[in-house]
Amino acid sequence: MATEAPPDPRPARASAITSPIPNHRLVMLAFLGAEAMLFTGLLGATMVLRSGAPMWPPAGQPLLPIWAGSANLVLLAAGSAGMMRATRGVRSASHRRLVSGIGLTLISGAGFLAVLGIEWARLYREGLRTTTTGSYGPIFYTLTGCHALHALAVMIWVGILLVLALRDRFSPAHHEPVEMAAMFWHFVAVAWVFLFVVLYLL
Amino acid sequence: MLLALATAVPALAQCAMCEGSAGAGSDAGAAYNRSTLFMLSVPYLLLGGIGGYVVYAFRRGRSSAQDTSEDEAPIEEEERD
Repeated sequence: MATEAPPDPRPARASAITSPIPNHRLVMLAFLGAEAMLFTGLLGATMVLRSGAPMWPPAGQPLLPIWAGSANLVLLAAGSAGMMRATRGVRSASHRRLVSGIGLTLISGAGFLAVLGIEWARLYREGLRTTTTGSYGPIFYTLTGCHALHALAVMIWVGILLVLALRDRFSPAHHEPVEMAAMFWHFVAVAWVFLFVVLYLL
Repeated sequence: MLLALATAVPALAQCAMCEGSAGAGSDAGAAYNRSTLFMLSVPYLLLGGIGGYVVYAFRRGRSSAQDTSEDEAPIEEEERD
């Protein structure tokens, strides 16, 4: 036989405690922190290897083209602007801004990979190899290759978002995937700034 | 703990290797030092940045909650009248 529970003498709480930071944002910050440490390790290794070389770039090795690094910087910044537009669009229920922002990001990302591919092909033709040029070639190909993999990953993510956006799967109440992809894209763009300075300018 | 310390003795011998190849005063030593400081600083910057954002978000959430409760108070009084 069930008995009724006695009434709770404590006053009811006025409102439930909610976190001001959404879980998806916190998770993404932790993930991007780990990604930042990956690039930090690569840049730290670059600093050691560069300082150990008597001459940089080594004799007979091609200079890295600053125009290519600068063009990629602009393309990634344009992609960031696109993701910001997409995030604002999904929050304000503007389907047109969401789709156009994602489209701009995809075009910028494709341009980034194209410029990097052209740069790789040209440097390879000029003799920059991964195994026979000391640490100069491996450093360049490892850092830019690792970054390009991240750019490719976020482009696949954004491509899936475009398909979902065209099927009208997002709303102001369900915008988390777009915001997370935007955070990842901004991270990729900021990481390129550091790579650009270390590889092309210093 | 004692076992870990006992087995760490051979590892300590490797310090001499680093001291010989990248000792203080050499270019390689300076490069190692700069690189170590750089890699050491990044986790603190990340934790500081994320921690600062968490504190900011909680303070903003608290102040907006107070604003909401202050806005709601006169309405309750009017309803009582």
